Amino acid sequence: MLEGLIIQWIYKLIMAYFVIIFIRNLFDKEATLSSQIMNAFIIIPFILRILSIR
Amino acid sequence: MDNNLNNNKNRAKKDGRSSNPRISGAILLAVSLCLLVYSGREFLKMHTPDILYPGPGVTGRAQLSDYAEDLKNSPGDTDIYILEGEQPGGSMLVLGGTHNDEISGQVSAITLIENAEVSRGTLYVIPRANNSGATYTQEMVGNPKYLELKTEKGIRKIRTGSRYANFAHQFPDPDVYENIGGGTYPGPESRNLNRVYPGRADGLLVERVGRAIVDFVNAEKIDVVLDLHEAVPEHYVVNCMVGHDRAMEMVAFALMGLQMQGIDIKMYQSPKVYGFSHRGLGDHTEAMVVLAETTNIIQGMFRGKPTQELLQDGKDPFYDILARSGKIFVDYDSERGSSLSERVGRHLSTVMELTRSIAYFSPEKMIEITGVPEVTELMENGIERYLEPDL
Repeated sequence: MLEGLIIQWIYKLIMAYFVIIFIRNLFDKEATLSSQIMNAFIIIPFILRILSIR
Repeated sequence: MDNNLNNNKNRAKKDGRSSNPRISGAILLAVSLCLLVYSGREFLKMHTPDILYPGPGVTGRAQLSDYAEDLKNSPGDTDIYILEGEQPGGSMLVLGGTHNDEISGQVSAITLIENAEVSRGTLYVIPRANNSGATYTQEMVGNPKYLELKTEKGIRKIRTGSRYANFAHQFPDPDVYENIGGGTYPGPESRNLNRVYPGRADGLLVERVGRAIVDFVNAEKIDVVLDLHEAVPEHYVVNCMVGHDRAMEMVAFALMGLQMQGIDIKMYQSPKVYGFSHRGLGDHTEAMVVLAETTNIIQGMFRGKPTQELLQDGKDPFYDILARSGKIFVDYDSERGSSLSERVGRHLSTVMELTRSIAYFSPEKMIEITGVPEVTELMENGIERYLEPDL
């Protein structure tokens, strides 16, 4: 049980780390429009996954 | 100054970069958050359970967590409907939704809850044995999210679900899953209720559900358990009953009754492999455990587009090719199909024939059930006639 909980929270933290990177990339001065679009929309499944795993 | 700004903008445009990344980033983030709220709401809808409309035969309700405290408020907890007769007799448990994509099992259990009346003995019905599996649709398959039945008074929607528990509820999958009896399966099978019996009280969510069902059967001293399933026509365990060793006599008698109703059905004895309900549940309880299978075309590997019509009619010309070349284990033609009404009818006839079989072998454990439509009646009138529409 505890092992499962620890893995879940590590997974959530890794996902959250990726979300931060995506948001940072979104506002990068050198960003192209296509990379901004990709970074904006890829946030959706990551946040849903963070919220849904329990 | 203006020239420099224009030059920068032109260079950015030439490189494919945004001329003002802050503004475009903020706009895109706002759009993304709007979509997140919309998709999040749709995503959460899958956790809203279907509403059932219990008929006059339902005398009580319990939760599986009443028999396993740790399941309380967990996604593994599920409803148990009790139909108790006035006269004493035997008891039977019908499990629907062990695999939620095998929809006729769930619909048969719901039909019992909404139509059956018991005068002798007790009937227990769990419509969604793997409740977590009812909360999501199998990924990469494209099945309809709901079964939508057109009743006379309106639409009745029933969630189709998955054969596995929701991976958001039991995460992560092991690489290889080994159940308590030593059976080994691919990791996702740890979320398959029919691979975990008799379960573990301190195990994974689905193992705890399996253990709770074993404890429930033992606590209520249930005599017969019927686990309702469906299978693909290319698998040999289809249109059949699989019985635990102690149940074989009862199964054989019920089989004769079903064949006399014109139903093409086979029987098998449970293999000595732990995990299956007919083995794990049968060996760890006093109950006679039987599993029943019908033919579900939409689950098949060779089916065409998985539409609502295919889910309900089971008419698929691709399976004609397989039937002609003898590659499937059922008598099939797409003109007739394998309709939901027929599949539910087969399951409900199995319930009734098993009660007749119990009455023959152990009259003191007789269970008298009325109001249940059997296969001929269902094929004539359609399943829609026996279910209430959504309010």
